[in-house]
Amino acid sequence: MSRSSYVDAREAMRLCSLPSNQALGETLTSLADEDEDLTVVVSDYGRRLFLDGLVERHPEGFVQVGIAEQDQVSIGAALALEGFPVFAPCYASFVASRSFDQIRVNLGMMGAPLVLVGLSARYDSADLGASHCATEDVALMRSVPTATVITPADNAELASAIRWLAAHPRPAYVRITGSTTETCLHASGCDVSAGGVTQLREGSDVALVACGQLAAAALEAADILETTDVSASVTEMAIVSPLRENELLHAIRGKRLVVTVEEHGVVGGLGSAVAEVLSARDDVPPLLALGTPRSYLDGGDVRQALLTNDGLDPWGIASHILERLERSKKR
Amino acid sequence: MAELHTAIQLEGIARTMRRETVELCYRSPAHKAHLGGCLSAIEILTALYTDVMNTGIGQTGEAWRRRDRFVLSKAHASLALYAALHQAGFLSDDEFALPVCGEDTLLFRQARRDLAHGMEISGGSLGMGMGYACGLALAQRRRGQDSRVFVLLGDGECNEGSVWESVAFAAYNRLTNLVAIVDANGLQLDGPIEKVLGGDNHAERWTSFGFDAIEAEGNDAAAVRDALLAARDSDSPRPRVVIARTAKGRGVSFAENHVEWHDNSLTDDLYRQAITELSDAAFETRGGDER
Repeated sequence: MSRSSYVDAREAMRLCSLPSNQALGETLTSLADEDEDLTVVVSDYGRRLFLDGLVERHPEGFVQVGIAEQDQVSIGAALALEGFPVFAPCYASFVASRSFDQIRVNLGMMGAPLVLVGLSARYDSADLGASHCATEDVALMRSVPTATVITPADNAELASAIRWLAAHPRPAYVRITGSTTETCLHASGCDVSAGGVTQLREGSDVALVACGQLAAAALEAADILETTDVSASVTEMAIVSPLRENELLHAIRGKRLVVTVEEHGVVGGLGSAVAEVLSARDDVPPLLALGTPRSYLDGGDVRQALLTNDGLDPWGIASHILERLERSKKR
Repeated sequence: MAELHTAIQLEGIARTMRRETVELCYRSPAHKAHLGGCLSAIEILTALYTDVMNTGIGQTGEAWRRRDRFVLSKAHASLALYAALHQAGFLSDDEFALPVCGEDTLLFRQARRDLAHGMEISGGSLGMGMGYACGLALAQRRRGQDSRVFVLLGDGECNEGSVWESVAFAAYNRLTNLVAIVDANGLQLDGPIEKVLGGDNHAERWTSFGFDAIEAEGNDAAAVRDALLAARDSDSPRPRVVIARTAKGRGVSFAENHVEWHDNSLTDDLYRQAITELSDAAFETRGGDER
């Protein structure tokens, strides 16, 4: 595939002005225009993915399985093992959990280079209730040793990841945490093939390590901390598994505290991935893992309200950090 | 086109495969194996690997890519599959003599994906092979290849809902290059299928989803061969399923139709008894008629 994973500044700005589903659909369609083999397998969630061009120009590249996520993975995996670059988008809350056995067998044991795309992860569809909030998708996919797990922070990074995976197929999971966003943390361009690590801000006291759209909230939290004389660095790590250990250790060196921020439960996600690295070493700072609570959503609400409630908006993140720093001082 | 085997020839090959399957079962750790479901599938595998499939053995390049594909969805019959692959030339005598399980072997109680040796999937988790076979069939169609895809399921396995997602997909998308086979031996681990979840009306179920169903005496090698050929060569716009009525544990008196031989350990005595019953001499003594 000739199109590289590099997304330049102009493209980045354009992509970041679109809803995530549109950025995804357009990227897949462009890839299909270049490669007849590019395949998208959907489980009755294709109409809203801006794939009309792909369906029209490459009908064989669009495979509809109906509301049947297990079949989506089995069929996608077979096509991928037969040499087609295959993407399988689905609600994040269903794609990893509903068909996890198919995932562990096909992507895990057989190494099928199928790319699952988790749409509307965690609170993006929270008005539909707990069933539509993925709390454990990253945790599940991290447990598949062969799977690369990517949580892009904005649409530029999303497009870069999709293009990279189309050119270099491997078992993978790409998680999208928003359907609309004006976040652009890669306005000057990005290339996930370089490792997906973006140093958003330098600082000396606290190391914030974030993934997904909340990287933007982490950045704002760092600004708030600055006003209280706490200097925080912010590192965005798009590839949660396998985690880039050297870059992580470099980011946290000399800091008093490491703070992870993710729109996912703290069990099994980025926080756990970082904890696993830190627990194997003696010379590392303590960890504060921030994420969504260890419970299912009771009822339903809009995303921003829920994030604020969980202390995952900029003020919430800053408060958690200050509280933890205060507790450490008292010891 | 090669001539078809005679019924006698097929029965001889099936008998050899049955013996070799029993040997592999005995060679498994603690002599434990899914003897019942292996033996019920012997004639189906015999037919596929003699007269029905273009296996691609000995081919390379384009000819290899155009081979037919076989997915063993009921992967607990893998020891029987190895016997078929041995007969077909995918496993050499040395490879077939390897231990079952452990390091440095190709043989496992449930086969692992190994295309060069004719194994498409890493099986064991029931209900997935049909979906995988659908993906393979789609891939062949996209590549403009006339390869067929054959997939063997267990009747208990058809309890799995995921099977029916795939059956619906194959029928809706008219995957006419796909032939499904149900090894309908009537027993599953907890007992006869009519006492667990029912579903013995296979033909009715599959046809209601949009398949053509062909019933066959599944342990009559020539009959199941003919049914598979009819399924393979049909010009129906619907994909086909062969419902092979078989006996679990077929050919070994202590195992045939006994639910406890879904999986069990072969003692030395039982092993010897099975091999004796399956010997050519015993066959001759019985008057040379497996039926």
